[in-house]
Amino acid sequence: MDLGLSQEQKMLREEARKFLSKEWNGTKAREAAGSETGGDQDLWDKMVALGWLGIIIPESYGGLGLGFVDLGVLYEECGRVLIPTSFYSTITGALVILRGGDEPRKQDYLARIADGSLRMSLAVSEPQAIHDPAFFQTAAVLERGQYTLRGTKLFVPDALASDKLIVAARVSPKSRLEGVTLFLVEKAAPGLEFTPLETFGGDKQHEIRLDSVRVNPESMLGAPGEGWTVVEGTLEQATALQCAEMVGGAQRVVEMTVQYMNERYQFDRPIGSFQAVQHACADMSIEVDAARELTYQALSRIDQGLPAKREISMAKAWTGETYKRVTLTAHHLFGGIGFSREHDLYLYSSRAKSTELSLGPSDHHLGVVAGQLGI
Amino acid sequence: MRYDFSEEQIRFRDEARAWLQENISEEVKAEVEEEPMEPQGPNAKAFLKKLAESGWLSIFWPREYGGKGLSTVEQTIFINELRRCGGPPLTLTMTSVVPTLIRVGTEEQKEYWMPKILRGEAEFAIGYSEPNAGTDLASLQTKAVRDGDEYVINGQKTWNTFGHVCTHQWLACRTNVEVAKHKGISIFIVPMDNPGIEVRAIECWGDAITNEAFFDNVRVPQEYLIGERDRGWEYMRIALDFERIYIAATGRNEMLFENLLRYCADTVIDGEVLAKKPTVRHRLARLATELEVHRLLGYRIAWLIDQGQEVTKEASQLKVYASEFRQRLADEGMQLIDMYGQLNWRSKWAPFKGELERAYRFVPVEKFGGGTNEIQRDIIAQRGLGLPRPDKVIMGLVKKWMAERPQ
Repeated sequence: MDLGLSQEQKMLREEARKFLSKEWNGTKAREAAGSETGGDQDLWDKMVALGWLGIIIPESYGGLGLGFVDLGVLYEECGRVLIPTSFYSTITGALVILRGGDEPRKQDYLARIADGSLRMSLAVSEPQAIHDPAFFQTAAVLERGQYTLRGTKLFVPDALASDKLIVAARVSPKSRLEGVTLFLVEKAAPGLEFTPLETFGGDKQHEIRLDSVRVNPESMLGAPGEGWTVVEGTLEQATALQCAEMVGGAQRVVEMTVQYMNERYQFDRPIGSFQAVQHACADMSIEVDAARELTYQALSRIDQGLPAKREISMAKAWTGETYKRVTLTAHHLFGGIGFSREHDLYLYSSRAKSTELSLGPSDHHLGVVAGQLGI
Repeated sequence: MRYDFSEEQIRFRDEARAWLQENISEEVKAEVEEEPMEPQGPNAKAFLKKLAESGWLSIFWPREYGGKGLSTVEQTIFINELRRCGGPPLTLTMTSVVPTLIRVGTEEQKEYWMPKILRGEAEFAIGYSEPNAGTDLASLQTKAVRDGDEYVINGQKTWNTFGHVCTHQWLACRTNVEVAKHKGISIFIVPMDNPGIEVRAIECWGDAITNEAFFDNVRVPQEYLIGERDRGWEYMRIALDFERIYIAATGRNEMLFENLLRYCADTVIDGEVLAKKPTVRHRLARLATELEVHRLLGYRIAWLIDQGQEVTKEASQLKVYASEFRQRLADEGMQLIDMYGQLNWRSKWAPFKGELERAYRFVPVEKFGGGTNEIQRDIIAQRGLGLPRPDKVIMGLVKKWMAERPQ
């Protein structure tokens, strides 16, 4: 048992914090959110130069070959300042390729992700199915040597910011339980139609209609029917990483709140000297510290190759509730000033709700935990 | 970074578990069930003696006092195993007095008391609280006055748990009335066979017994003042950090949850296995997650102590979390087992020997004992997060108001 970060990880954290505090802030986050893709090319290029896109990619494919704890450290720092989400979406794409791609595919795509020239997103959810592959309806039909994709994907993160999408479609539409297969689809492919969704978090998610999109058989990622195994495993990893982002955001909100409680005077004294306020802050700190422990436990188990399904779902169930509750408590403690859109707080509150819901809300993950209890 | 145990730690845990399973007899378990907090039956006593003689209690002590210097993480593993195997809880002597003595006692005191403690010849009750000094502990009035080579102690303590069975008191007394109230306290060890001590039992809701203790001209040698004179407040804070950590040991909650889980998996009511009901599964999953948090906060503290870090904030966080979680576990567990939840632990119908209802009745003391959870939240906010101390803020205001007052 060693619950601390290594020297290298502490350095990574420090460097990331220094870099991000210089390069990113609430004003930039608002600007990025107002753009079509939600991104910021300058920040992206600098993150690429730091090697961040390749952290989890093995050295043989042009990455840094580090682990999930390292990447989690980075996500935590990114969560503190609310960077554009296409970073997370592209890394999820890299994780899919790592898990499901063959050797040439890995050589090609992973190197391009690491050097920043390829952005990706994973398109899984559909109007009538979010977590259960048995109900996915998007179909891939083999016609004259090519696959034709038809269906609708929903809640696809950063679709417009991506160069390529990984689309889950069923190659044998007759069976509900099998056939889910992954396809790599160019964003510019004819027949793809993107409609932005107006979301709570202001992040860029899309409805994607696939209206007879034709792709070569080489676009298939992994073997037919093996798509769900890849998606499931990847989403677990992405969930653990997202928890780290959420811990970072929640921690930042605690710090902002404590600072303001020290600065805001009423009745001639800082309101942070009132016990009602102190206890609310104490509860926040317990919940966020617990979220961090659950999250790094999950990440370190992934690194060690230990089973982590239970730990990941516990982390997400807890962290989702925590990030949200911390922002709501902060809104109450800040009062009017925190309610104003001039203040950054609402950016965190929006992201908190959005991350609580994405990759499975608390109830979904408690269901997974129940399944792991052996009852 | 790794959260699971190392191979060595697993070996240690398995070794401890094997030894405990072999040595905790059914008779011991029965006595622990009868008196979960301070089992006094002959078998439980004999077991604790054997535990000490076999070296299990001192392996965490520094080598110079007969220990093997094992880490706090290992100690936590051991304590959790002890509770999981149905063994008696370690007393505050082991969990609070010893680590404090190691840190603040003089060399002579450590050499004198540690072997005595290990032989079971010194078992302590903690004498801090008084009728007028509860949460405001620094107001305590029990006095120790120097008289030649001795101190003479007069006063009254309350909530003196173990007072009726201990051999010694670990007693906080006022030794200086000339200074601020928290700067004039010292810690004494007081043998119970000294003349002038009277103990009266107080029966509690959770079937536990605590006591009032009266000290009437009780004389102790000056060497029984621990560490340095007037530094008792500081020592109590150290001792209370340790007390909080062990109040919060995870093992018994793990055991309680596992019993609840097994019961829900094996029990059919109204034609359905309890654990098949979606509402039951949901509650169990939530409790499992909360238990995991408890476990992680517990090991985090142990690990931080081993890194040589101060853990005041973490000890308070753990104490608040663990006590409030245990209350939820007992409360929700009783709801999960429906009408059976109300059965007293003596009833033959009570599922897993009524552990839940007893925990429910006992748990209030965990929320207010060892420093109320409100005080813990103050500590987290002020010492952990850097929010201002209200008393200092008010003192500043009073000075300002006085200065602004029209002449």
